[in-house]
Amino acid sequence: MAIDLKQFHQIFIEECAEGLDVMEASLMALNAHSLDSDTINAIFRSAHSIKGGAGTFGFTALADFTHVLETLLDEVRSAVRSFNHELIDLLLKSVDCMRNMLELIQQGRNEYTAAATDLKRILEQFLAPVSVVTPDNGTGSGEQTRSHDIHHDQWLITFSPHKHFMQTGNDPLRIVRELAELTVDGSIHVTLIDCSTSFICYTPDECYCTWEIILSGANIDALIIKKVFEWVVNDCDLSIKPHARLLPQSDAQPSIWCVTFLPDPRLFQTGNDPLRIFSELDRECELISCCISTQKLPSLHLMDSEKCYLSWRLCLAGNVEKSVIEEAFEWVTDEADITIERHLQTSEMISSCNNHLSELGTIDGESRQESMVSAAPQVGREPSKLSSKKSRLPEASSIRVGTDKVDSLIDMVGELVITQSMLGQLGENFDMQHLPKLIEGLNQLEQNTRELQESVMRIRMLPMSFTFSRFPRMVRDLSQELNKKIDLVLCGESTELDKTVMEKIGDPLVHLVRNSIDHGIESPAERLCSGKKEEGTVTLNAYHQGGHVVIEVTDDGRGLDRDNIAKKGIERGLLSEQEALECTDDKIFDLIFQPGFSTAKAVSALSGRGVGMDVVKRNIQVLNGTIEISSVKNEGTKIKISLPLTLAILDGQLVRVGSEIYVFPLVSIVESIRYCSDLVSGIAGGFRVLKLRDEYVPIVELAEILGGKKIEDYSAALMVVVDCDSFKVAMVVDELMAQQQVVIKSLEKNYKPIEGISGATILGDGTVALIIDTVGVVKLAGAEKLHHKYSLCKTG
Amino acid sequence: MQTGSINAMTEESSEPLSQQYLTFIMNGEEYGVDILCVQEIRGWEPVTPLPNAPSHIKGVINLRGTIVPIVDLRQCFGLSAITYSAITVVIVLKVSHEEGCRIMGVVVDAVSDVYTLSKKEMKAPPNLGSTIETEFIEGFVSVGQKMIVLLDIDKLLIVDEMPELAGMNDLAIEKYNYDKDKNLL
Repeated sequence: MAIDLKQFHQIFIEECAEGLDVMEASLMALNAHSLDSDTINAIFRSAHSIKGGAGTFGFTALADFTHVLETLLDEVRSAVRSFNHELIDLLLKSVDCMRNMLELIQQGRNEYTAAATDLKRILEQFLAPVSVVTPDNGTGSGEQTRSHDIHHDQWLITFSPHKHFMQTGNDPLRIVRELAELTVDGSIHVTLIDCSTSFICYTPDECYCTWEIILSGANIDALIIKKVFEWVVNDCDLSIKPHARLLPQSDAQPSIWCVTFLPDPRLFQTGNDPLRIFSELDRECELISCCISTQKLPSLHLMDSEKCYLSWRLCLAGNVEKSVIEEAFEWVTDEADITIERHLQTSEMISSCNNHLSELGTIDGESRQESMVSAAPQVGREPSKLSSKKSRLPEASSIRVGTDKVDSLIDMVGELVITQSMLGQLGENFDMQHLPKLIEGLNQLEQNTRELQESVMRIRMLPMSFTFSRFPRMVRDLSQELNKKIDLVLCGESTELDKTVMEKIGDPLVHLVRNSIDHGIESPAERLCSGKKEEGTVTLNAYHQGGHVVIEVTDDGRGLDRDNIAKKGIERGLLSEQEALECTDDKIFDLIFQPGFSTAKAVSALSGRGVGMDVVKRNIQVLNGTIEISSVKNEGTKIKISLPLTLAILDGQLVRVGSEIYVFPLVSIVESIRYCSDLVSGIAGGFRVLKLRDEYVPIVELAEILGGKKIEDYSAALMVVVDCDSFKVAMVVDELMAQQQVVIKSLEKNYKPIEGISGATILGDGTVALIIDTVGVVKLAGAEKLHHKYSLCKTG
Repeated sequence: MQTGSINAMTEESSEPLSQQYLTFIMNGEEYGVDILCVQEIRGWEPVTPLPNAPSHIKGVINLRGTIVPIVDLRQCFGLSAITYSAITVVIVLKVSHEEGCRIMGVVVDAVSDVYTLSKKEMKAPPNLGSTIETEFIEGFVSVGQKMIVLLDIDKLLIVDEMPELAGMNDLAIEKYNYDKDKNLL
């Protein structure tokens, strides 16, 4: 019975992703310290299990790629090969590559990415000089410089199974199919060369045939072919030889195709890369010549690195249909003018082409480089493209939970069942005698519910390191790219945060860190000039504050340029010059959250386009979080994101203000005291302060702020002292009521966010109570007071 | 009234482009909304007021676990406020906007009827000059001697910028003229 392996694909993909994370983290660790055999072993193990898994599920592309990687790692492990920086880079690139392949697998495609093909070749080359296995690669070391030849290898396999072949449970057909899968385009020619038996002595379960198989395609080496025959080597006569290069149906002349490719300048912006198309063509047929027309190339100062000014004329030889060539250009037909013509092949033609080629040889190389350079911005954007693609796929929906957490959950459910049955018994024949027992039971129920809820919440909590772990790699790559020296400091990695919140905060954080590195941190020379350490520091810090998790991204770079931002703001009509002078720094800095706002002088691959900060802000607002920015020129910038711990339940303190009931998050309350006029004194601007032991705390009239009537009689009033960011505030309320857990309901869903209110909840009697956002209320109070003062000034 | 609705329905149920409208009374005028937007009709119950909200947002109620804002359409249209009683009606509507749909309640004087109306019968809103916006009026329709203003609630109940509709009083004048014309005809 066949087991449907598809059901395990998701698990495989998740495990693979985890394995890749381990590999990446270990590689980064190797980077910092010296060679450590444990770490190498960890990398090797991950690679090995990925290979194994991929093989099991038939993802041959990934398995093959990982196999090469594994061979390399094995050499490192057994100290045949020394470990160096170059190798780490290569391995990191391989990890990226495998990630991309994994994404393809997730879309149900078992294939190589263009980068993977290239990288595999590099890895193989890397392996070649030391490796003992590869000499029968057939291509020899001399030819390896011409990479074109390697991946156009043909193999001649003579396969003659023994008679009992099929009785051992093997199937020649399966082997041929597997071979066919090795080739990208499935070009396999199987010829039956011998079938020596007469019908008289024919037994259906014996095998009498010998086949000759010609296998051609990129990236096939003897090892891979041998692997296919791994199970049957003892049951057959097998010879695997590199086949003399000959095109299938070699008596037919290969046709020559002339392709003119005039791309639209927007080619790169649509995410296309001519290089990719050419390499694809190269796989299908032989590229005889490639002429570049640079007519449209503007002078250097007019050049936009994002535009494509080049056009190509390609000469291709190969026994291919027009449709194959067209297919290579399939994605760019809208962005380019393409003509594909067939040329009758004459020897002159080839020779002229070859001449052409030798003439253009150098130009060809240069142009390739050039197209790489112009493709660079696109490469920079690729991650975002990938992530957007990812978001369309259903997000991986499983979560790993420690068994202890699940066990405690089961215990609690057990207790809950006991309580329920006890209450059920009580209810069956209840009389007032049993009242104390009932109350006890209800108390127990309450406790059970609370515990159950807490452990369910705990299951959803993940440590911040899940998000932070991706940054060391990113910072390393960026610092190399930008030639900046950056020291990344991670603090508070064990801070726990709800999984949903965690998943959604990743991308905004990446953006902020990129910004810090690209714009914030100066180049080493600049830093030395301004008397700073050569190494810039970017700090990521996560901690709990009140009911929130705060994540800070701090850098010690050049800071935000207030004047520059204000100038841009005025230019864009976001504020007047008068306002620009009067505004606080915070208000000016807030401008960078405006869509399309950028002060960068030059747009780089990383940032500076002005998209981003607004998206960051929106993402955080969706999570009911806030983002604040503070910066001192030449000292650095600090971005503080504050997020709710969880999105569902809150411990609340119910208070009465006027006739309304509000809920304070219990975590934000420091203490509650009776209003005592001796301790209250007024200061300028209508503010009053409370003397709380040895500090003065501003008083906020909650009733007034929330649009109710001001309290007339303070004799019964209470003051709730709450923690607000870094200072305390006393809020005047009429009455303290019960403490209870409340389920947070969104106000935004059907209405809009209200300043000073973080949400609503439903009380036991079915009425709605609003949940106070202390920080918001304080801001509201401050803003209103300021406004009040301002209008007073005007009239006076 | 009941018979009227049945008549109206039987007359035009064959019309392919017909739609059903729930009408309600406010200050003696009859307004209609697409019945498919109506989620339920409830009696008035005390609301939890929202701080610093405009006066026509009365507050929020708990509708089976969902927080639903309540809008006083009278105040929205610049009519004088009335005191709510047990017979004051709240129509709970599903309002769609660019990000999805919102559930909102509107306070009206009374619910009137359900009519099946076809697009053909609908007259475009008159140009009332710039004093009042007519964007949220889907059209006018006359049933018997009555004129009904059909409201496009998706445009009317925009939370961020609830239209200032004090000018709706002018609409009453306009309607008076319209009725007069009709009578003359």
